[in-house]
Amino acid sequence: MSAGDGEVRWDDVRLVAAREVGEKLRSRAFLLSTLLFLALVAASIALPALLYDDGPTEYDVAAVGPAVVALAHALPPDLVDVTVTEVPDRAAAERLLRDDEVEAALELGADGPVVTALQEAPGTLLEALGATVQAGSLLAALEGAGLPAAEREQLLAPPDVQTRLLEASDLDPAAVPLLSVAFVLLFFFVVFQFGQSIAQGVVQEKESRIVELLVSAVPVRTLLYGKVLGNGGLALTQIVLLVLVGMAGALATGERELLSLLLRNAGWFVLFFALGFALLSCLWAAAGAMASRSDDLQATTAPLQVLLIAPFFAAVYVTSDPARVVMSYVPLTAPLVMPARLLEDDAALWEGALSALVVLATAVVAVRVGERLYRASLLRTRGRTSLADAWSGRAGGGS
Amino acid sequence: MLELTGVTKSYGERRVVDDVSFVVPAGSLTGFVGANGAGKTTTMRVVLGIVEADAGTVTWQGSPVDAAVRRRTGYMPEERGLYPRMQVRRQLVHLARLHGIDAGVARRRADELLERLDLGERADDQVDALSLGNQQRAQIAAALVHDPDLLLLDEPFSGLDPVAVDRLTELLREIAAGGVPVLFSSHQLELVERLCDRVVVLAAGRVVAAGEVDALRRARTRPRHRLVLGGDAGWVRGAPRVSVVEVVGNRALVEADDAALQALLAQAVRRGAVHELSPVTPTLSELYREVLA
Repeated sequence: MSAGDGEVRWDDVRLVAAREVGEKLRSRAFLLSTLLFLALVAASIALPALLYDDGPTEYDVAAVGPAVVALAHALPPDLVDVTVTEVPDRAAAERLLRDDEVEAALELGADGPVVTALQEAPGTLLEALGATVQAGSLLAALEGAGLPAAEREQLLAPPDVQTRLLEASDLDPAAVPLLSVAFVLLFFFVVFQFGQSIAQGVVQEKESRIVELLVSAVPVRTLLYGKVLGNGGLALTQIVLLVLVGMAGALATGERELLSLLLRNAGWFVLFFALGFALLSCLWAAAGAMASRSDDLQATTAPLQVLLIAPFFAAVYVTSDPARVVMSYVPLTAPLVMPARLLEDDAALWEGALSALVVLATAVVAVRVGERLYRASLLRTRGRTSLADAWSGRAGGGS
Repeated sequence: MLELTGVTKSYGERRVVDDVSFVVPAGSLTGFVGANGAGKTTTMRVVLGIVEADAGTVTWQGSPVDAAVRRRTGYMPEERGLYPRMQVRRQLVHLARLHGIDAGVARRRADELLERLDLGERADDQVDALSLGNQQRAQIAAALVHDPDLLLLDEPFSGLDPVAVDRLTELLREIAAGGVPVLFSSHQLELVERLCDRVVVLAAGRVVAAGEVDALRRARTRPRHRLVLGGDAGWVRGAPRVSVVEVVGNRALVEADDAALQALLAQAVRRGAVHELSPVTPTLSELYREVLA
């Protein structure tokens, strides 16, 4: 009987998994990258809310002469909020500009107002100025045509536009596709990170030869399950944390619709993440076992990278419908596409459940395949194991 | 008792282990000697199930070695291996627990062993921060931490300083005295001779000698004697029924049975002074070279 056999004891699996988790949590690099990831997600939620402020744009403006000061003050306050500094001439205005005291200088030229800025034209200010000047000249023209003041005012008063919304929501219409892409990105990065980490962990055990000690103590499958469950647990925790950070961000920025959207779909996302991870994780472990040194990893994990990257691009770029529906049932793309379809209310709950079952069934097969490859290659220390050799379990070198 | 019967393993055309049979009795330190590539490591790996034999059986207390037995076996591989980035004590505790030892007991055992192997102060260092000698000690501790019922050590002494060799010797004697069969391979034959009651000599995958060292000595067909004379010993070459191993000046090393030896002595006395006639016990190295010749 070889060391590959023997009954798997779940206490041992837990020990192996606990070691994986413990060592990761002790690794400063891992903690830092996790924190960075969380910060990134928090920032991507908070920043748009801060940047795309609906309030008026603020400007510090230097005005040449008292007439221009009056003009600046007449700018519509719902568009721009100007702080005016009066200066005697253009040279003084330019000095302030170059000293970064103001963002724009305003003066009256022969043909109307002239705006000076350093590098970038102050868009909103120009817009506001245009509207004001237009209204001003129109007013002057009407007055010249002899129209009474009351009628002039009425003509110039802004029309009272009424708005009706059929599907009222404070949710930004761009949020749903953005969220879909965010889910796909998270899936991709987290699976990639932990898949690589599994493969590296396995090859390190081979490289350091501790694998001989380990397999003489416990069956090979115990090592595989422990490693996959330990890393999978960490990955899932990271995903849940990221989703929670997203929800906290939505709550903090008052995006109630976004929050409820997240609440309704986070479960699906986490479920499909777990299934997708299970589908690939044992194969990552096998890729690690088929290498005998870290240098070989690039080659042995290449097929897996393709299995991850190709569905990723497909999920991001294929948005037309028949293809997308099919992809939401294809095992490798389903974990990426189905949560997005559910998010967009494009798929019914039974569709989600069916797709989950498809991925689960594939995962069961993939775990078996990964296990077989892992067992056949784990104890070969001379060179890379070919896929054919690992599958047939042909004896390799070693003495 | 560990018993190997007819264990055979080939890699392709190359037969690395060829019909190997021997026993490692309880309470004995058994030395496993042989040239590089003789098949010692593969034999140990077969016992541990790391390598699957093509033929033959390995039994422990009469039953085939299975996962449960391996769990109670301590092993020090030839190519040393521990997690390089893990602290020594935590690593030992982890390995002990994988062998089925409770956390509390595992911690106590790990601390005891680290103290005994002078690694106590390094317990919280990562393995890759240790010197090679200390890594070796940690590896020994890893083989012993679960208080094994059977111990297989592949070159445990290589790379150890003399003090550490003494520590390990003492430790192994103690473990063997506790009834644990210990099999260890070594190239240092003097050490094996000093430490072991039994040896197994492997050459090109085959057992060429196995048993107690004393019995191997006795098994030599003719005992050797040293003869030291007053004058030149050259004439000994002509003595009947005596085979001369070497003659240097007034000394001769001969192989002869009892009668021939008595005749040789009588002749020597007739010829002049006899300073010494003494039996020569062969060292293990000599025996080793002899069985390989």
